[in-house]
Amino acid sequence: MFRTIWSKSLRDFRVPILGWGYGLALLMAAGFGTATAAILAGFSSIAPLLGFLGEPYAMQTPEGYITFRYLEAITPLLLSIWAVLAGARLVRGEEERGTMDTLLATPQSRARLLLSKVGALVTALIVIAVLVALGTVVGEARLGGHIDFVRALLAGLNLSGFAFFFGMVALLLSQFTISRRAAAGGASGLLLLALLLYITGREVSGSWLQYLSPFYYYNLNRPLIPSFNDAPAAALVLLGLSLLLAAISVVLFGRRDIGGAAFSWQRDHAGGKHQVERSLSQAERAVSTRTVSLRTLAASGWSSFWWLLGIVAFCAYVLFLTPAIQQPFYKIVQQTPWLAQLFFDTPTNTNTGMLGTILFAFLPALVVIIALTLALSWPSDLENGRVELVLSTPQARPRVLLERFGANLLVVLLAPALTWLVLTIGAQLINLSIDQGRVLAASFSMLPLALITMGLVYSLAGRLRYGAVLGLVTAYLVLSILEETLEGLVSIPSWIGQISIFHLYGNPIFVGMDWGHFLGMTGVGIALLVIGLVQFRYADIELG
Amino acid sequence: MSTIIQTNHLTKSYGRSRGIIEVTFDTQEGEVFGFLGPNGAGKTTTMRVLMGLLHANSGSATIGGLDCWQQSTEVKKLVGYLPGEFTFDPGLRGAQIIEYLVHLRSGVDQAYVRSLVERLGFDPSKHFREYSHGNKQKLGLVQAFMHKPRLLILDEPTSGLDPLNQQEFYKMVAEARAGGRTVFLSSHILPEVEHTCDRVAIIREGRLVKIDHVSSLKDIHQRDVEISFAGPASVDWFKHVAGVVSVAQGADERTLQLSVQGDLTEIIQIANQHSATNIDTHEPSLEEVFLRFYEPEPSALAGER
Repeated sequence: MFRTIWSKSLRDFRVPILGWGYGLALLMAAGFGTATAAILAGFSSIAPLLGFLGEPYAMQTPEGYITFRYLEAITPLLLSIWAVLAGARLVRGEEERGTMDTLLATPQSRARLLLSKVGALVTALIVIAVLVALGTVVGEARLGGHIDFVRALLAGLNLSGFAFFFGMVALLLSQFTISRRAAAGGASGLLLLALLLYITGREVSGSWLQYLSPFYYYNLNRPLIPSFNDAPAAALVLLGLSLLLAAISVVLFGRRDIGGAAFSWQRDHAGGKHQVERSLSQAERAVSTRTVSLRTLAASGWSSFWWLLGIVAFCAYVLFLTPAIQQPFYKIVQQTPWLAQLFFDTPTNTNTGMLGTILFAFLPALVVIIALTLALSWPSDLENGRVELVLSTPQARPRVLLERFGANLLVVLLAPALTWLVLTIGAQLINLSIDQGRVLAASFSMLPLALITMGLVYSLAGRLRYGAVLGLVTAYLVLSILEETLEGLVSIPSWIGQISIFHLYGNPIFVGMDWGHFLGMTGVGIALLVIGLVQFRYADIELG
Repeated sequence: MSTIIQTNHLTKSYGRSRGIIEVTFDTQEGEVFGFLGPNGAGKTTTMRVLMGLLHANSGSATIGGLDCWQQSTEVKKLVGYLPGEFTFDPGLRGAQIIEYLVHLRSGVDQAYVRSLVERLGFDPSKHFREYSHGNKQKLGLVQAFMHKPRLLILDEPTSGLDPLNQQEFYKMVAEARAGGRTVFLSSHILPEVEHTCDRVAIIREGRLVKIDHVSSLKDIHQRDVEISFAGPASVDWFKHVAGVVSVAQGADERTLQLSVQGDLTEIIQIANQHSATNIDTHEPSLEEVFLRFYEPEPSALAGER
């Protein structure tokens, strides 16, 4: 595996290949497991109301149902997030780690190096496509229906092709930024913008906005559905654009400084006493350098801002949709036995119930992801030796850890607070009647979930390396999400429900605050934090 | 002078790997103490245990009478530390890093910080990721010296510095010593150690093999002596003489090769008794003395095979 840059890069992708490949394969196989006649009928009836999730086609067939539910927006979005992260670090990651100099000290041209890495990403995405196809075939076989491996493979390749496009967007952006995080952030923003354009364009019938979105061109092909009139040219256009982005990246990478940006936005001023004095004075006045907690808040400032803005936008969007879809949705649920059974404990005849069905089904997962990304900077900094100097100052270890945790918690606390504020103020503005108490309960009941997630990361960070912490906590969260998503549709051992934080979150939007669960989960979160403190008390600090 | 650093049978292992074993030494207040040894010998491990960054498996370490692990927060008020691999947030500017560490220490004289920045010719306006190795090292030195600590623990402090800044660093060390402060530094540059340090400790494969004054190390040099005689010479004449480490026949039967430690008076007397015609002595440099300590033990080599 160490013979070429391609094989070494492919080796670096082995964990994501297995994680994403098997994860998506499992999702497809399990998805087909839920495609019973009753569910197909139920989804066919509510699909027009869920137009923001995708465009329903052949909903009475398992393939149409799977395409609508998983392949149209959610799965391409998820796989593209990985492709964006991988694309952003393809060469910029090596530059940040300082390994690019060594690589380029060998007789390898820059173009060959970059293309080898792009080739590795393509190979990884093809392997993921094959695994997705295998999952699809297994699902079809379990359902006893028609098995078509070629169509399954084409669906997987269509998915990978879409993710590859955004990977190449991130690669191109990484030529203009000097940090991979900035490139990944920019590409993620474009990904979300593309989704928003696609959704909005479709909601506003015939709007040209959707033509600006790669999601539109991706969905012109639905290979899993035999009756769908595919447009292979759309996939080729997307592939052509991806290759063009890669080619531009090759040219820019070949001409720019290693460690520098393709165009230098900031010109370095000549040093001199004035410059020294000015930067020292600015740093003296800065608030962000006063304590560990302020520094932590500043370090996560922009990413936190975008996450919270996303929550605000999501809440506002769903609130805006609620008056239009509440009554039709209620009628369909009443007329469809399977849906009536699924929503037996859900008051779908109220606005609050509607918010619960759409908004609070996703928001807890989003808040947990924010908590995870914030908390992961702790094991990352520990592993990269960035805590050593802080601990060489007279700061006690527990204090440093608590300040970091506290700063993370403060950002996470803003998520339920903003959710509650947007829903309360927004409902007043559009004159929508909602149950204030239950919205408050549903918003702040998300806090213990975040507390447990962060507690898990901090408790493991004292003993395990970043990769292990990330793997374990992500595995637990994926298990929790799968349990909650597939509950009632496939048979899941009851013990998984007992440890799933999303299951324990319950339905506060429908039943109000469950103080027992709230306090119990908060207690678990605090206990995990205490374990983290004890572990860190005796942990050796990494050199980096 | 009072003791500022004291270690007693300090041991740290990393699972199966060796770190340091039974390291015992002390450092007196006001001295410059050099810590020498080949790569991986345990220098950085010892320094990081002193800083409370690593938890020793056994033994004890104190700084200013305070336990380096139990009272590490108090210890760090006394210490300025430069790590061997200086790393920080790549997105922060040099000035922000200094300011952050100033706040975490509190009570730092900003005018003195500015004088250090100026003295080392450091540009604090760049992002950490943009600094060269030498400039990162200057930043490391500024933050280590800025609060005028009682004790400076510096892991290879001149690594990456240009000759002018190396000279500036030596002056800073001399000023610190003149001010009654202690410097505990590791280095591979032997002339630097010879010129800046009062005492040195040599660590090899995790164990301390020598602690002495630099001047004493010179005194205990082993000298190579070659003696020529008018007639055939015997190794028996010298092999029981005090200070003779080894004696062997030279190029011919009238010549002997001796390795001698200490005074040569008795050797000269015996040589005179046997009608010596010539005596050549070769004194190894301090570097050769150090290299002798650096070489792996024969037993360790045998073990590796």
